[in-house]
Amino acid sequence: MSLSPLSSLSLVADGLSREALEALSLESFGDVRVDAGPIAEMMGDDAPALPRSGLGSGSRRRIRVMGNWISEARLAAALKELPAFCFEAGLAPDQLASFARLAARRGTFVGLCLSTATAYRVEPAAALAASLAACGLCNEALIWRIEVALSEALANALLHGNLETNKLLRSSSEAYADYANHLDRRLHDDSFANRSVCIFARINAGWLTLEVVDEGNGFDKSRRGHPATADINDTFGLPSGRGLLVTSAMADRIRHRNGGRRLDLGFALVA
Amino acid sequence: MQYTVDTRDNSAKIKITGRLTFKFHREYKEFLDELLKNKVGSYEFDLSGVEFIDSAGLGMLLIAKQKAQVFNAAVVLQRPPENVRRMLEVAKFDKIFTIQS
Repeated sequence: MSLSPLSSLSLVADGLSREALEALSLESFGDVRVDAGPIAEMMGDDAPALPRSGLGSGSRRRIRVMGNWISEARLAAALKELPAFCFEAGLAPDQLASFARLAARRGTFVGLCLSTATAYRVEPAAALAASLAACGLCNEALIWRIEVALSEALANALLHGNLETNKLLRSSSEAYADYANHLDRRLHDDSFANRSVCIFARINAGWLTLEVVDEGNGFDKSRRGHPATADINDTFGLPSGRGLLVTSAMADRIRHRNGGRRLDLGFALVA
Repeated sequence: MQYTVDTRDNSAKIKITGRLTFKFHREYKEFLDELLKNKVGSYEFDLSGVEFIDSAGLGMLLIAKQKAQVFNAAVVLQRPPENVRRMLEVAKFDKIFTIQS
């Protein structure tokens, strides 16, 4: 099999045999060419205030495929180099092609795609926030807001999006055992656990945007009482329902797209 | 996330360390059962070792408080690190809980 669409880029296969790598059908990326060049170069003049020295101005970046058991430490190490596109082996080839297109958009400097089961286990928000901190893009206070907002967005994407668990089930301590069992079953059901969740980070005109994309059923944000339209006071004293409200408090702007299957978290970058 | 529960003299001291997030959903019921098996007058959550808390973690603290209130026990949150304190304030938990520095 040919790896030609990506062969001109630096492809790193992490924990994959040659056979497993060939089974990825990378030719399905088609004509997509993820820009794996230095980040500062691909940002162009859109973000003049950025500390370019810390943004991969040197060596060419990589596309990383992660196989076998992805641990928190392995993910953190992979993201530390801000790969152009990092994905878990085992995701469907047609999915990968569309994700690669998203990762290839101008200004997108890192794309991460994991299965639901892996993302639930390794908490990628912490690893991604750490890699952003290491590149000198944001100060400590902003990194914390990013980690909180991203963690909440991912929890929503995983629990309510891809795993389709009902948060009402955990509204009391009595219901918690049932909720835990329900969650466990979903995490062991491939039709839910193999759904993908992706994060794309891009910079444009002084804004850092993190897009969180899931494969759930989305939601109708106009629905009465939905967290997307609620106020923090509405959740006062309630054990659940404040995830999106916390997200709104941490991000400078949020936007729901694609019927609720994508959430854009925007953070203003200050010079 | 890891925790220890030390119960003595009508008081339970709960020390939580690490990340208190939605990942704890699956073990939470067991944690709650251990906490409430000996009913005491006060529950003191030592949060000084908590590195990170999300809205699900906040909800778990609230459920514990609601359960303890059934038998009139007090629930106190102690020594939250700065970032944890900020999350408690965002959720207005400073108006629900007694928070001690």
